[in-house]
Amino acid sequence: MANAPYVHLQGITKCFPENGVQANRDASLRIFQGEIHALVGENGAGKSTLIHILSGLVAPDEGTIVINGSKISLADPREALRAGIGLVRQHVTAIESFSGLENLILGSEPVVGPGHLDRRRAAEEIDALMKHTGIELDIRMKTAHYSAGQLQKLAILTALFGGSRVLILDEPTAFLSDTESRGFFSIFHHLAQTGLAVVIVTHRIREILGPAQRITIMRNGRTVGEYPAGALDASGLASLMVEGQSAEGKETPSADDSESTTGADTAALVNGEHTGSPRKKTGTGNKNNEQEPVLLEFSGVSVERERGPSLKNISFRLREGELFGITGIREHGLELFEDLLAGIITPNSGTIRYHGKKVEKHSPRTLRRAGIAYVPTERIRRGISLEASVEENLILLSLGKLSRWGILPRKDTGRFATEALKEVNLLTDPRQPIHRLSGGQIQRVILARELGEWRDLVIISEPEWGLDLAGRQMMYRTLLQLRSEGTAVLVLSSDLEEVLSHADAIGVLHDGYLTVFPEPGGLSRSELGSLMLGASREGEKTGPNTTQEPDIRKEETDNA
Amino acid sequence: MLSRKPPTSLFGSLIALAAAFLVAMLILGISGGGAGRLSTFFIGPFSNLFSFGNMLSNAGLLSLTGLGISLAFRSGTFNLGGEGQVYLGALAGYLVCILLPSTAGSGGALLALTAAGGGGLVLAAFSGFARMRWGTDELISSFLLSAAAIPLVDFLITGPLKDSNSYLITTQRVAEGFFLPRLLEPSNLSLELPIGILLAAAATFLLFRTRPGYELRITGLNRDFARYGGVATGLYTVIPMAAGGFFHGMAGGLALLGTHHALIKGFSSGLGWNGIAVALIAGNHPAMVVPAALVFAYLQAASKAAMLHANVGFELNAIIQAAVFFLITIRFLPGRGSTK
Repeated sequence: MANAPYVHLQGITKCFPENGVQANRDASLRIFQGEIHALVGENGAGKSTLIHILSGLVAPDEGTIVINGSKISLADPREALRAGIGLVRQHVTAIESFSGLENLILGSEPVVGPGHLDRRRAAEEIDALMKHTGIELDIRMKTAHYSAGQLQKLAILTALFGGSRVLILDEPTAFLSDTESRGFFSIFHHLAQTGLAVVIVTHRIREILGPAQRITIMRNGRTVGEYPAGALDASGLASLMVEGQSAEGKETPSADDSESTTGADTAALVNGEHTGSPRKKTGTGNKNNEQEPVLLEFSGVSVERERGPSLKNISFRLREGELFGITGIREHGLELFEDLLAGIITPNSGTIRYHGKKVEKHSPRTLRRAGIAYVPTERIRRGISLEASVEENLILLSLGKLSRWGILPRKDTGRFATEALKEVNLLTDPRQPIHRLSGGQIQRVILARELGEWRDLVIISEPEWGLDLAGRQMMYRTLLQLRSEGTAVLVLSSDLEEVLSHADAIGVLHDGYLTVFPEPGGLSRSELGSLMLGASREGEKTGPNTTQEPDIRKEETDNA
Repeated sequence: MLSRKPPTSLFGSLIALAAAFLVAMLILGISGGGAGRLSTFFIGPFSNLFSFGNMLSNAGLLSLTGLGISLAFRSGTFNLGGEGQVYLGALAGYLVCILLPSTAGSGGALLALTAAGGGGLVLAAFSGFARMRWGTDELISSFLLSAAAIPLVDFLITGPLKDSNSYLITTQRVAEGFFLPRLLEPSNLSLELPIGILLAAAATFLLFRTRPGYELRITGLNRDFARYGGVATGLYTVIPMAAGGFFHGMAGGLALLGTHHALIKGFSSGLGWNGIAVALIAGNHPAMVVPAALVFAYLQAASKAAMLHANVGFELNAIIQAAVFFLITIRFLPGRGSTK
């Protein structure tokens, strides 16, 4: 460890001109040979940008990269490859009609003479590589039949076959079961022993603490520090990852603590323009209130598809003034469930009732016409039009109100936009293109549009994504406030903790089945986690008792 | 790969046009002949009423086809079948003219123009419908349909409808009562330019001041966003294509009743393709389509003048158009505005 780092990134600064997001500020990273190195940080801390810069995929504004003692030129993926940087992306893709072998040798095919592919030699070389690294994979099979774990193995083998000395894995366990994950960590361990550097990029602290030898923490685009693994425990790590706050503060942004400045924004947002008929209720204590009318009801809804995940016999009831959190693994049904809720997928069987009436025509248009707010996961792709102006992004759901005889008077749309922006404390020119705004400001525009008018139902997916701490607190206050006014809120999230700490009821989606827990107070994070991964599907388990809640909170923060 | 986002930068267009002029001058300079030839190029289109009026007439027709392309482009669809839509529109207009009694007069002319628009509309709307219904790429289908329509019209002109008394491959003339008024004798200029200006103004208003226009633009900018926001995106695939087809058909009808008075084989050549160039120069902004069409028509007329009077080869015209196309499409290339 006393020797020089094999890879050294210094002073990396990157601001994306498209959205003004400052992804990296003077960030640094040192990677040594023969180690497992964890690069940790929250969503949006700048981890991905940093490794994309290292891989030559993104050009930094400033900074240097030294690999094995020599400076490499930036934004040159081929040079990064030559220098031994191998990146395994979060979403591994392969040519499905090719076998694992054919995918593997793509780009570095062993040839005999003028272009004759030596398949046998390739297979032998890869067999040797697998024996050497302890990775087992059927490379004769077509990759169409590969599981997420097998694709991941394929990507690792590809990188190693291409001569990588530094293997970077972006959230490698995101789509894997616990058992699969453990298998991968033993592979990583083995690889590190052969002298490779293995860099694991993750926001899952718990699973990295054991295997990692060194940890680099990022926050808000900066490198907070580099620590030997023994120096930190989980709670210490968590508090370093979360800016200027104890980890506890992050867990419970309740509607009551309004000391931060964003509190005012939220109050303005929710008290602003609910011109409908908000039924004011006292407090937020309407957990499982059986008296409230059922707003949305799924009974036996199934979505079957030839490939990929499906949804099986989904049933639940959402009452007015209830916050229902549904969690699961995105690729294993949660995305599909979002598409179903958004109306782009039609169920094969089962019925959906809204306000007691059966939903006959299932499309985004009918849902929107019913006045449902929807904040999609893909904020930029589905939530806004980057080339349009802020104003044009704001008026989409209010066209009926704003147009007269089909004409949209500019004065009216302008006034509407200015007022909507005021509600979310965003003082900016509504006629400018929205891509000039920062990511956080864009989120506020989306919130202003979706929640600017009274809604019976709010569907919000991955509410924390792309938001900083203040933004998250504002978001939760808004949702809790809406709930207290009688709006039903449906939160889809792949992050357990946010769902645990706010929902009246929780649903866990696994293998296409939804298990509903009406009393989430008794569930612990690890219980929920193993349910997500299919440890047990008996369902309807209510937790031990509510007095344990403080302990659960504690455990959550430990694993933040 | 082409970006399917509607480009809207005017600055790039100006640079592209300036460069096209430079290319033209360079070619004229290289091929010798000195200042006289250059002045023919620049002043030629203004030297007499005939050339001037014909240039304006051409600009009017190009405005219509350019508008048709821009509208489709703004909604995120690509109409590559302009040539066939112009041609088929003209045929539809012609058929109405020969079916109506020659005394139908200006009412008949109006009916013929509408039919011409309808002919283009049907052809283009089918591509839009196929995209909405089956996801067929409208770029390919509009091109293929157009490519099939052209020989069909040619067959009618060379066969059943041919005027055996003429040396040209043409049909008989339509009745004189259907002729559109000439605005600048002895040139061909008729109502195409005023109609082009009128429709451009209407399209600008529609696009930027009305709800359907807003929904059309949002669909073009981000189809997913529009869809999740409850916009009937399918409708905004069919309607702009159909409207574009109508404009192309109208151009065919106006060329028939205003300029040629008969269906001449190949008369539409270039109107559809050059409409794309005009739309690109205009940055797909309908208010800029007429100026863009004027500039493009001027470039064409100038090279024609140089060709006729200064002994420059026929290729000059083609080279200048190629230069405009090339320079304008540079802006489509991926990587624009990306990192480094």
